[in-house]
Amino acid sequence: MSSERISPPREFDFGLLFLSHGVRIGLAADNTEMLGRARELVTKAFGDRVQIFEELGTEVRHTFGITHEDGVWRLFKNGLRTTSENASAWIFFKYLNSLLRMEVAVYAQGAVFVHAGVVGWNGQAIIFPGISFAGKSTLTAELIRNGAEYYSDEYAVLEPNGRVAPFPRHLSLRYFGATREREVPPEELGGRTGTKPIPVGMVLLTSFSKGAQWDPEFLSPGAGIMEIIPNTLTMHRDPAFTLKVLDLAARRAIIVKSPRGDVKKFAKFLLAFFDKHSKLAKIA
Amino acid sequence: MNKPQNPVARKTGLVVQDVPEEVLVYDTDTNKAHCLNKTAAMIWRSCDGTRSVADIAKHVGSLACEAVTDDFVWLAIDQLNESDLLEKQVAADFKGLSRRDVIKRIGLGSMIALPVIASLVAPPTARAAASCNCNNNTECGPSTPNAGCPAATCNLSGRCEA
Repeated sequence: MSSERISPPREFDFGLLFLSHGVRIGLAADNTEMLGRARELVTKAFGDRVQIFEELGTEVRHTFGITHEDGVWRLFKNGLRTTSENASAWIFFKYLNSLLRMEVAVYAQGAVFVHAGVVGWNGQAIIFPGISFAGKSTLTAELIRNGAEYYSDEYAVLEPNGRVAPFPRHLSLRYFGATREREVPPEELGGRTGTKPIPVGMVLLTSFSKGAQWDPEFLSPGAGIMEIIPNTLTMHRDPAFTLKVLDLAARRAIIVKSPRGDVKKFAKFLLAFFDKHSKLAKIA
Repeated sequence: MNKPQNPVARKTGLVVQDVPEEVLVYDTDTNKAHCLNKTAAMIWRSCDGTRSVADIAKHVGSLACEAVTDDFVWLAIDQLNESDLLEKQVAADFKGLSRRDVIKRIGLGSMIALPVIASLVAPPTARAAASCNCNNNTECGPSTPNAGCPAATCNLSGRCEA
């Protein structure tokens, strides 16, 4: 994201600080109403995995300032105006939600964030790393409809012991050929959200391809971790910790690679496949 | 005593993680990740500067309980060179044969797996690990259909960049 210094750093009258996964980020605004929206955003973005402090501290990684002038929402970073602006509050705050979650994902302490969808099934996690538009949210939603527990459609949060912690948000489901998007709470899909960390039972490396046939290749832990690395946000910053955690997560899991076709059929099939092949004992 | 032509495994700038039957190596200088299979890892770890290729072949053979030829070790050395996992490059000596010919010669007779190193480049920035389906900057960032893609810069390979 580029920043353009066209004037001295912008100052704001109101601010708060939040702490999530060891990362401190400041949010600032010109008035209490906008700061209130920012506070709601943080709660929505991080749920119960965040502490909010009502004053900006000095030791923050970044401070994001929000303005609403001339009908346009604008984002400032550390007092400097960015190119991120939009007339639509929905689009602007959705973007800011993703940005804040990414900031935490990148700089997290004591956890490894992998760009992945995650569901829980019989006490174990199925994680499916992948880039955007690979169908993570669509697959997550369909698995929830089939009884899986929702953990995340965006990041697998791996704890130091290799277990996956919940990091939920409303699922972002695309429609109309992926040109539109809407946010869906998991309850609307008839599912529930996971509440505790669980071991990884399966790593699924897949993406949608029309007409694709399931043709699984079982990977070794090392080969599987190599596939996960490009989707791991903490890899560059802390490779030693990241590799250690990925090892702990992967060594008890089956790691499978295959394209997938229609999501409705695939979701049912995947859960049955997992039950048949899972290495870990089923945990009640 | 180290001899100039004896291979030496690189240690600086590398993060090493043992996983079952394989070794992962992350090069912090180049952001490249490598996965060495068990055989490649045994050979790499035998490169201590005091052993010649013939010595390494004997040493690995005793670990694997099977005779290992110099060609077998040179196959690994060749890949270790390519992956920049040796202190200094050591020119592989396949005695005029191509690598493919050597593999064919060894492959059929060997009971232990050929040395294999798989490599990839990890995204240089964390934001490159998150992606949007973009072709140019107008498709990324908050004012676009990809409003969930948190970076406003598209690297023309469909990935967001800081």
